[in-house]
Amino acid sequence: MTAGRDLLAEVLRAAGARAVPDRDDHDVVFQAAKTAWQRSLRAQRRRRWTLALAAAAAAMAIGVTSLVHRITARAPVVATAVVMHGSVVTRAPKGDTWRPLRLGEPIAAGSRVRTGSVAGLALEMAGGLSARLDEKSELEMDSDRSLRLTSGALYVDTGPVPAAVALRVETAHGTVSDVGTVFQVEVRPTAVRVRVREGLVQLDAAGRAGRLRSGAGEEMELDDRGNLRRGIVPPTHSAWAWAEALAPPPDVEGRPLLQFLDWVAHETGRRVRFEAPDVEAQAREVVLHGKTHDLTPLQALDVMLSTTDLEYVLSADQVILIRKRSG
Amino acid sequence: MTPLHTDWALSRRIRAGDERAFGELFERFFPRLFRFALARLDGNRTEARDVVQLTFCRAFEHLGAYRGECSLYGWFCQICRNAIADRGRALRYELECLSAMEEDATLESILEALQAPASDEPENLLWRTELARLIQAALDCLPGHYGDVLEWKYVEGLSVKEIGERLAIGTKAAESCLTRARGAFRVALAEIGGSVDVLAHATEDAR
Repeated sequence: MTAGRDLLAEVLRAAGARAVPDRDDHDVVFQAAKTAWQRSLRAQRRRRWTLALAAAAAAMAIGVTSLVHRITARAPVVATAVVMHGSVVTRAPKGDTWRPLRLGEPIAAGSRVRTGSVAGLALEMAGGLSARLDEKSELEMDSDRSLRLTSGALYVDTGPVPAAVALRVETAHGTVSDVGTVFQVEVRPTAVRVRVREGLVQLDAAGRAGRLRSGAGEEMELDDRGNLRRGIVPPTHSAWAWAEALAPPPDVEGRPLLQFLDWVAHETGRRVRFEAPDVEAQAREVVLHGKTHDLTPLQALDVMLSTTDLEYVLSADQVILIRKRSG
Repeated sequence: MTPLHTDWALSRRIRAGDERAFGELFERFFPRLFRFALARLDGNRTEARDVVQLTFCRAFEHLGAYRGECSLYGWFCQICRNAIADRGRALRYELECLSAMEEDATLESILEALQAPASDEPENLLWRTELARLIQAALDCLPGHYGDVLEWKYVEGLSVKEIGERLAIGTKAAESCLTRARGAFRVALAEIGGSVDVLAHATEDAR
């Protein structure tokens, strides 16, 4: 105070009252937030329950192991379920009943997997590539390099180095094979659509269309009359969103931020750019801790950067710009 | 317990399923985040509500990622900022104004703003409005109920006894809370290099 005046009070009075949100807005947001919170609590409990089950299984070394052994005894393992959303079922080779697939469960050659509505599945194939199945899809796995998509959509990331044996995805309308790439095959009743995010894909059409190729950022749709339609599908197009949501989380513990950024860029079809050299240097030095389970790549980036003084901006030219947080 | 410890403990209680902790955090953060978003969305209340809703949903779904290394409000603000960016809204406000102070009370530019000459020019009127908003944002940065207590006392004109009743504490405790709130507000202003006196003269000129 000076000369008997309470200046602090005067400042506050001059500034006036802060804006207050409407009661309706409060109630709407409260309900949504509570639902999200309760959902996260349920997911947390499910994870604990899964861990408890895993511990019990390891301690007893019977039960689940013997069941899995029975399933896989006759055929080699071709894939492992690494991310699952919603209802996902599997059918053993030569089996005739469907049962729920478990997270982490090995899948034998000849098995089928099927996803329900609002569901998805990410598989780590025995050869190391990543395959993701959209909702309402069915896939038969002859081997880790030969898949048959009977309905729905399949996303495949074969990694940067082409394998000695190309991955083949058979559909009723033709066989799609990769040439070191990231692509998506969608089966429709009378057509097959192939979208390519990276690299090159070849479609050997079942009918008269013959051999067709599609490059990064392109899509082609071939119907059962042999009509071909080509189009553009940018790597950041919403058509890739379902596969991003199924991206298996990377192991970030003790890894540099730069490595994590590479993963986010790969999974979102974007490139990372740094605002300045010192920002890039910082990204090399920052070491990450924690987990990014159940997050999309951009949500995971949100969380990881929130503990640093860096932030990101998505630009229209498919760039993730990393910069110092403003202010 | 430091504010960060308090935030950490609160986040743990929420993750453990404590509904009271959930409600406490929501009631404390909702109006502040609403104002945070409102300032960055050109005053569009509907958009601000949607962004804050998305912020809460993302934050509660991923609360396990919060490790108490920054203030919980700052963590929510970062999620809110990204939610705004995700909507394709350029963070013009972030570039032109003084946003970071709303997270950690580093009000660097306010002194410069206060030294601008007063006049009836439209830009100066705009500046006055912005100055008022910055002071209100400074209140939002204060820990606990300090911002509310100051507003109740000096803007709404409540007595210390009435403040105590709102907080369900005794008059003595309310008085003590008000003293601590004033101290915290002064510290927030001191951090920007300004003083209450300068600020008061500036606001007086504006009247």
